[in-house]
Amino acid sequence: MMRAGYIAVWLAGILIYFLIVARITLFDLVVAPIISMVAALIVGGEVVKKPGKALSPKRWLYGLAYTLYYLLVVEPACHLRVASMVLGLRDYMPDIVEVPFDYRTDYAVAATANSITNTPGTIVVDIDPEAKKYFVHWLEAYTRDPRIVREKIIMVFDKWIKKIFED
Amino acid sequence: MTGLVAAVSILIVLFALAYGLVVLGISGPPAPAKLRLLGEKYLYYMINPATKYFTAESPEGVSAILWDYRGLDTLYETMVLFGAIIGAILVYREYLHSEPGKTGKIYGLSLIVRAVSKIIIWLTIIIAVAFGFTGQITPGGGFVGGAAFAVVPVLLALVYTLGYARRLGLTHRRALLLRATFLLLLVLVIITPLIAGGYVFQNQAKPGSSFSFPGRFIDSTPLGGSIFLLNLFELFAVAGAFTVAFILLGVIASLKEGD
Amino acid sequence: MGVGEVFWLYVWLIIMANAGMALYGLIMRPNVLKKIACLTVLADTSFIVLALIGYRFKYPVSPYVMTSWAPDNATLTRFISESVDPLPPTLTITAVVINLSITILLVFLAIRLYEVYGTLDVKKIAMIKKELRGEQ
Repeated sequence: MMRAGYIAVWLAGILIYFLIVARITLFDLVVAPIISMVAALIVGGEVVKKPGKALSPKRWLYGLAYTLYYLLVVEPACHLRVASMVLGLRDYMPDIVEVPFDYRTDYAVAATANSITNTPGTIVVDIDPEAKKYFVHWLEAYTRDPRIVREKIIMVFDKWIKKIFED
Repeated sequence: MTGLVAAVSILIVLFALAYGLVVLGISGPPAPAKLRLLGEKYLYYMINPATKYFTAESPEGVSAILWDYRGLDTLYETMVLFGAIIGAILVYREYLHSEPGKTGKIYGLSLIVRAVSKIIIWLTIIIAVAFGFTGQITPGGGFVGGAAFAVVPVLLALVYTLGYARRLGLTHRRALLLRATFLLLLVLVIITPLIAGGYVFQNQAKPGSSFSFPGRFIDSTPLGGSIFLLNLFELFAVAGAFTVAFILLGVIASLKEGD
Repeated sequence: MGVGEVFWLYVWLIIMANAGMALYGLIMRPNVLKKIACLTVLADTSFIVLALIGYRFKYPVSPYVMTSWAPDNATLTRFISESVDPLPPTLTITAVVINLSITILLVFLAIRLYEVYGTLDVKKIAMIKKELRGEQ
């Protein structure tokens, strides 16, 4: 199981090498596995723990779909919200709120935090991994009820992130 | 008094720069549109099948000059780098044998930074090593790759703390060993032609010595002969040297905090 | 003066101002760490000058990397007519490495200095040394 993780990292590294050099010759075909091997031997066991998940094409497709959805739907909507606040069309009430989450993997936690931070209006300030809580600076903190806050801030990403990194 | 010295020296430098500007043509571009003769010769010879005794078999100009035409310069430059690292170690040699506290728990930065840094470190290693392997074809090479590789121990120490890096097996002893091994290999590549009856730092065949490192890969991708090997060994030697320096800085910092 | 000349005068003035400020910091700032930072700024300024000297202000211009791996004479002539000078980048990479090693050595010496005197201010260090000499 452990060894399969290294192999997943190794294969992905070869792909990344060819994306960088943008050229396929016999020399590259020989050199790419060696370069990727160096990287995989150093960090392979840390980067991928469950190779079955990393190599699943379904998760990659979900990741691609989520990226498009995030960039084309979620982010423009948040931009419009914050822009209307800046123009004085909408009220705001900035505060730091606690947002509970229920992810098991590091990557899901990090991906959700980055998704929250990258949308305008919300920023993850800190995280408490033991209590499973984000501390989010939010522009519309009218309530502090964890259930509602969670609904408003991370439910947009939640089902995607779980399909990509968990389940 | 110091103010006077400062003013005079700054004025001298600025005057020299301004004089250079006048000589180069004030308020014009600093470089001529025509190539200088020396640069032109390097570009003409670096991968030219017609001039067998002058070619370096490397399509990348800087690598050809660094490790072939002006190879001895680069060797001494490398010596300065390792001399500086050795000097730094000598100033702090008492810390080389000290053990920083082995903490069971990983402190460092938050979970989010750690999860993202894993991937960043992985990508950095791939890019750095790729610089070393393809330095004779595309810009990059040993020094650039080595310096990029040295980012990895810094990230490890900053994000995961030094104790964790040590548990992964990243110790200054291993880094010193890496540096010494690849420096030795580098010197071996340099003196191999001498043993084979040629000249020191010889790459391709020269008059009086037919020895030459393999200039092409099987599919005629340029290898640059010794340039490929030297770039590769330089990469790991430089990475090892910087890792030693950064680990030592980290050890000093962690011991100071412990006081 | 044309637009190009004004632009180049601007570029050169910025470079000279950069060098002047770095030298000022190197000489006048008492903190050793600031001196080291100014030294690297001075070195970086010289790298920019080197890069400018190596460039070719013409069109078309290409990097010093040959794309054809078995060039004939026509390819070589075209390459030489387009490519930038490879020698200044080479000197820059040498200078970068030397600068880096000097910086590492200086940083370690600065840490030692702080250990011995408890400060990085050269004026305070001079005073401490004077006091020590007076006690003897």
